[in-house]
Amino acid sequence: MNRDDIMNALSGLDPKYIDEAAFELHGNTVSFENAKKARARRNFLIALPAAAAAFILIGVMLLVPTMRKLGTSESAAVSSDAAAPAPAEAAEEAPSFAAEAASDAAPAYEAEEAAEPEAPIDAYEEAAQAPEAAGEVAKSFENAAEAAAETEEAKAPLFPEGSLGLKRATWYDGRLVVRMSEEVPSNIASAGYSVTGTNADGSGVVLTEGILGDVLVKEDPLTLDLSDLGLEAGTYTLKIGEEEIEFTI
Amino acid sequence: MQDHEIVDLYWARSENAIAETNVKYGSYCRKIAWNIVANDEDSEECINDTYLSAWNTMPTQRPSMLAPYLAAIVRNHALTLYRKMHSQKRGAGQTALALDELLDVADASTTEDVVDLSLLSGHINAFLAALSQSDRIAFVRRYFYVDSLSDIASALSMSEPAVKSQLFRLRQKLKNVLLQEGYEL
Repeated sequence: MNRDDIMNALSGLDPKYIDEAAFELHGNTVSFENAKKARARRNFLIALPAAAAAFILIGVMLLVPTMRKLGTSESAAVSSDAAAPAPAEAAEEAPSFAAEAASDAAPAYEAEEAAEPEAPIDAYEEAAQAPEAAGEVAKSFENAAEAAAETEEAKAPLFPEGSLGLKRATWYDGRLVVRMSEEVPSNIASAGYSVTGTNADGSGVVLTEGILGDVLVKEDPLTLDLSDLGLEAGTYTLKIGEEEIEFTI
Repeated sequence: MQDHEIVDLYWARSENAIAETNVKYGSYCRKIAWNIVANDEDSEECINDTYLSAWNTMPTQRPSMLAPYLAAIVRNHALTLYRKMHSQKRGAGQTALALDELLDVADASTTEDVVDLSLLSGHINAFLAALSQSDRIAFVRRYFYVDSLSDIASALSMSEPAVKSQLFRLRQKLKNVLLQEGYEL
């Protein structure tokens, strides 16, 4: 088989595929929904590991104090069992030196006896303090999250003037194709946008505003679906981030 | 006029059949012919041959969609004329470029093996069925309609380099499909 065979075989294409691509007869049939679906799928795949990581982090934060509590009570029980036999063994091993053994054992016994109650008390105190510590950790995490949010709000605008380089906006069949001098940022869908028209008295009126991702059908070139606005012939202003561009219908 | 009404005219051997075909699909067929032969005189020759073929094949054919039926006929006539004119040369124009691109899939050498074109068409149809709409339209516009890359890019709101790489990827896919089907490429 050679390339001419392929070229000839293409004349036997399924008529529905020939018709689908027959722009001359019924216009462009390419569905822009694919871009939206692809973007939604991409966002889901980005959010999924982030959600999984957050879940794991929360799980670790809850499990660690609990495991610490369990681990400390067990070590306290082991240490109390180890201390008890010592004085008895010391007394049995050296009967001829009973006085020395007793005197040696006594301070040891007393020392260990003194030590014995401390360990459980420490362990129980630690165990009692563990929930409070967990609460403090959770509280500090909340504080950190609030601080991060405040810091986020106080940061500079996402798309300051000049960062996008809006050059030209062309209205086409309910859609607006926006050309930029800069590369389209990967987070363009999160930009705020608005469309402003002009009243009869010349004053501006905001016709719609929101997040660009709600009307974005394609990122490069930037294509927005504004067909729902029902705009009539005239001149309007599109604002993305801090930049504005006029377009005419 | 609806397609079935035009087809009825052919079946009734009415002289109006070709006139009505020309009214509805004349410019569509001319576009396809011009894409391949790239001049008005040869395009008209292809159109005339197409109408004659339509007259000769209906009856017995009764296509449910007349546009693809005529598109395939005019395409065949145009390709035959193109090959007749450029049998020894590598000419300019979209046809030569499209044929060169198809070298990624199969070479230009003649083989003794007779290829069952309807079977090959079936494999290509199965390949197209698995593609996204955008990919399928780009492939059909390029290799059936022999559209230029810039026209395809404009229609699909893409850049020309993006269309070029898209078509390259599709040709590689088609090659893999045909190799899996047992074709020697």
